[in-house]
Amino acid sequence: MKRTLNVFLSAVLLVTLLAASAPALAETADPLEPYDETVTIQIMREKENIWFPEGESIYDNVITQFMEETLNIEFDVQWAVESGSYTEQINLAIASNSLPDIFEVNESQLYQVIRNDMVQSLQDAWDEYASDEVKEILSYNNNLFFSKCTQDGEIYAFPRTDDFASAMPIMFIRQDWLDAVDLGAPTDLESFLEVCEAFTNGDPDGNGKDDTFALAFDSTGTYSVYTTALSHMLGFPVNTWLEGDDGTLYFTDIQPEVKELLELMQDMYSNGYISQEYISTNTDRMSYLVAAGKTGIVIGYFWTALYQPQMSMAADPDAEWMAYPIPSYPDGSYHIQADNSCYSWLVVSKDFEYPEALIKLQNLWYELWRGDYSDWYHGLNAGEYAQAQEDFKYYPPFWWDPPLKNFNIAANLREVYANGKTDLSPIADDPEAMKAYEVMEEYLGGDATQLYGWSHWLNNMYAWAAVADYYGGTDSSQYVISRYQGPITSTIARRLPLVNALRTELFDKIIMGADVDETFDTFVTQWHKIGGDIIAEEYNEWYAENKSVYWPE
Amino acid sequence: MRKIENRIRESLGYRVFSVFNYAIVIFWSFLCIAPFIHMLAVSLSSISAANANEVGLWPIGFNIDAYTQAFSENQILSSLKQSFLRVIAGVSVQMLFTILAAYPLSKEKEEFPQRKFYVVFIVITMLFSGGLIPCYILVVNYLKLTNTIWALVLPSAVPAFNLIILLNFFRQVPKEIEESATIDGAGHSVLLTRIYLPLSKNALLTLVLFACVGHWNAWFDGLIYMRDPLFYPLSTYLRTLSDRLNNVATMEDARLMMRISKRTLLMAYTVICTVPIVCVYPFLQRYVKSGLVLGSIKG
Amino acid sequence: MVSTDLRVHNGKKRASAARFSRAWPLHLMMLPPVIMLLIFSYIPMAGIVIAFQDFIPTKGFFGSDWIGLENFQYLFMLPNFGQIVLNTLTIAIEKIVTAIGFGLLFALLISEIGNRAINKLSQSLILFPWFISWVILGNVFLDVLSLDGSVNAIINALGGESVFFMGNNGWFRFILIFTNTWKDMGYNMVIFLTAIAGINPMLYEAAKIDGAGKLRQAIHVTMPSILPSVILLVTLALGGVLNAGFDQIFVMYNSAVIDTSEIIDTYIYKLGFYDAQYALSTAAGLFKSVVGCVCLSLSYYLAHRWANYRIF
Repeated sequence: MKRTLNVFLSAVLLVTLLAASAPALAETADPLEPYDETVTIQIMREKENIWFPEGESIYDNVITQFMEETLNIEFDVQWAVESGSYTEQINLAIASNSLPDIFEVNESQLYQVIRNDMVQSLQDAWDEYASDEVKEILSYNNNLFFSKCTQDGEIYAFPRTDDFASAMPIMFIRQDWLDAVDLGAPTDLESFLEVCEAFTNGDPDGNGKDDTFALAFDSTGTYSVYTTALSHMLGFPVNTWLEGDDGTLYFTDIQPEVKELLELMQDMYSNGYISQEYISTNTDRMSYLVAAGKTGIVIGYFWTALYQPQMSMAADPDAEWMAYPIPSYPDGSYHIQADNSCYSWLVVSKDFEYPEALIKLQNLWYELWRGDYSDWYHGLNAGEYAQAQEDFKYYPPFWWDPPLKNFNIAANLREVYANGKTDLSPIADDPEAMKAYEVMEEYLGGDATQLYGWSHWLNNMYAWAAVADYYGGTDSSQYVISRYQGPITSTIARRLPLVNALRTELFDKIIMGADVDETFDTFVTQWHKIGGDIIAEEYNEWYAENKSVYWPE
Repeated sequence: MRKIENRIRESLGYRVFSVFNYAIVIFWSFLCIAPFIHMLAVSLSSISAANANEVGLWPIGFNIDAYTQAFSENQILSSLKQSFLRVIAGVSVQMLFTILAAYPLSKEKEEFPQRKFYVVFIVITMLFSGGLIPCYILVVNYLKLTNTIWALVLPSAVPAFNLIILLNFFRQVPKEIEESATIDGAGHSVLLTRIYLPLSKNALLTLVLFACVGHWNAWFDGLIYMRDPLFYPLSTYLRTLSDRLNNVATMEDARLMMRISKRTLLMAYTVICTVPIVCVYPFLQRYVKSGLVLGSIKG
Repeated sequence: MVSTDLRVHNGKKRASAARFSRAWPLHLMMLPPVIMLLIFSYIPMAGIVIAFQDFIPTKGFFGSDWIGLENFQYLFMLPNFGQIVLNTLTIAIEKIVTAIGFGLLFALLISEIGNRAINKLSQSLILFPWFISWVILGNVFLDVLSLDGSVNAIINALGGESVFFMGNNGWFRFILIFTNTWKDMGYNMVIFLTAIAGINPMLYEAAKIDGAGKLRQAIHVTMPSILPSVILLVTLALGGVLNAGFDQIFVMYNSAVIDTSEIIDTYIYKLGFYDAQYALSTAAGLFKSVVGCVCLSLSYYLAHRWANYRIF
């Protein structure tokens, strides 16, 4: 196997080198140029319960070997941490000034390592080595992905992008309940409340007991898609910073219209549409309630089918879930709130002599995932490494997803099914799409226990359809994104928790019955004092400088 | 006549008290163990019953899947091993240092004039600390103890709290015993080993218990000083599992939840983590004697 | 005249020399613990300076800018800080009083249980909760105390209405203290039982001969003998008075009860959400240590004065 691999690799390498030396790419260096002498890269890796075949591990596996051989590097795993504690470990590494060579940081850590002069500029490495595909993909939305890691015109990190629809709300409903109460999926606020009423008091599960509530709103709901979905039904965005008429940024939640949202949520709580205990129920505990058939509407994301709905179907074979777009603005339009979907970055520590290694690694990853080596990669994943399933992408130390990839795959899959599966050409060249197609077929072919296939089917055929057909597709101008895309400076980091805590208090107090006007007015006054004004100042400073870069009119 | 009446009346009052006493103690004991029985029941129940919070004190849909899954990951065996290693090394080290320090400090000022200095020295460490980062830098960067059991054992080698408790028990050893032994020519080491230690057996066993539980349950140092989850003690591993349950914001989180967020599995881990340490106390209790026989004083 | 003085002087010298020759093994025994404490407690203690700095890891402890009490100012000026400190103090003191009080009560009760089997067994069972961590227990309590949990099921069966324990400030405080007592009381009980076991039985004999019944024996023999242990445990607990139990509160609290249950540690944790803010948490830690030190010293002094008891 290794011999075949070597032969294959050499051939591919040759082809790449030849292609790279073609005149069109004469300006930049070979994006996958191997080093003359082996370069050791110290990294920290997260250990999850990933399946490995005998003899392989996160320290050494088929993908890391491939990367090491292709680029002539060596991964030196200095730290292995239990998944979930990576962030904490990086915090410690930062505070004790003992960093790996290449590592991943979140938003606030990014700011810290740049400010503390712990990482180096990647501008030169990026200009010279990043492959054309990678450059194009990451330029989505006017290079907004780089807004938080750019300092003095140079980029200091590689954005590990997430799907562009990461924050978009999708509504998942118990279809069997809808059928039982004889209602269609809600399309606006009025029909939504009708469904809520039926799901709460109409005994939708038919067991004669008044034991259900409509919406799976949990204690994190005030900061998640639940609130953005509800405010969308009322016709305005929430918890974000937008440009006002005077050209400066303002915070949506101190505007008086938020009172409408608060009143709506208060009513929903007192009517029992929201769990009476939501405040002590986090997402995990709420998911148990969903699985136990206590609630019928989950507001989630494009991938949510594989979480609560799947749990519910595993627990109750009669349960049926369907995905719909969330109800529209009162005038029927959609202005979905989205995110600048990059939540972590890769950085190179100051003393590491080979910053371009990071760029090359990401080029290589792209080739594996979607490019020249993807047939081989996905072939492995479907063949010898089938047991690893989705976790196969955790084999190498760093991976990322092109932000529009899932949307396109879903669109292609829908096309295939639309033409009755006669023409597979939209997905034929795309091994990942083919994989999804296969499991979907397994499910549709009658294997009702193939819930993995079911979740793909629901996500691709319905959740993504909502985005494509209702929300605005990949046209970023259709979405409402916060206009502050700058770094979390220390000033901001000190005030954000206070301001957020205040907002949470506001929502929770009112939902549980406090007087709307009074509580809201107190909130606004306190918000200004407690740090809101300072944050607004910082945000506007950044916006004034950077608006023309990211939102050129 | 009066005295006999009193004794009868007393024994009646006492008997009533006794009945209530037994009732209260037994009731409270049951209350103390009820949650654990609940956890045990959940770990042996079916997933759907457990998730729906239907399980009380008896399993519903009895099965041992959670335990087979827990033991199938080699993580748990290596974590158990780490925990045992840590307890054995840690308790030995702690008891050694506790005894070494408690004995001199239990002496009076006349015998040990500088004791005040040492006492203040120790109490300060109980109250003040540099915090996480300095300790981390010391252990990791300078002493290079990562991935070793010593990183978990040495920093807490001198437990001030236990030390002070032992100090007080040493003080209760009657002076006459010490004096007669000194007259017979005994030096400090003999005093300590032949007299103080045997007479303080109860206290020592109590402290061994505290040290065992302390080390068994400590999880934070395992998280920051071990650079490979295989070296995590069981409590650290359990903590990483339950911590993950709090944050479900991304697809990755959700997939993780699907794999591990089973109440049954979590409870199984808890049971596995609790059973060994719970056996320690009854084990130690066999060596506990009530009352001291102080015949050596008389005559 | 001179000779007498000399003789006295020499006598003292010989006495102190004798004292030292007796004391040096004691110094020797103190040496290993002192070394360990120097390395693992005192050296890191130098890091307390972070509380007074604008700490930047690349500059280290001795290179970061000194900002004096700015961190503390920021801390004290935080909204609700006063309420938070008050919460911390009241919760901590309530916990100390109940955990030690009930530990004492049950130590006395159990020492009167004649049946050896029940005596030993109940000790183990009551100690049981102390072994389990709050992360697990907290979640179990959330289940048990929820609107459709076991406790409310019992209440409903008895004809009452369900109580939202976790959403009500008054109830929640009670739950915090009660569950904490339930969990930690065994620890104190064991210490008291050990102390009771050490009481000279002859004292009881003497009391009985004087005609004292069981109750008076308890009051005049048992209590005075274990009073030192009680004072000891209270004093030591006061040293950590501003700790109040992060784990328990963090797992069990929520937005509805935050007014009465936010403590210093949970608050600092929240503040460090975006930026680990070690300087701030060190400052808070220092504040807690100072207050704990004051309380401990006060308790030590009072015990010394009133009960004539030197704790250490």
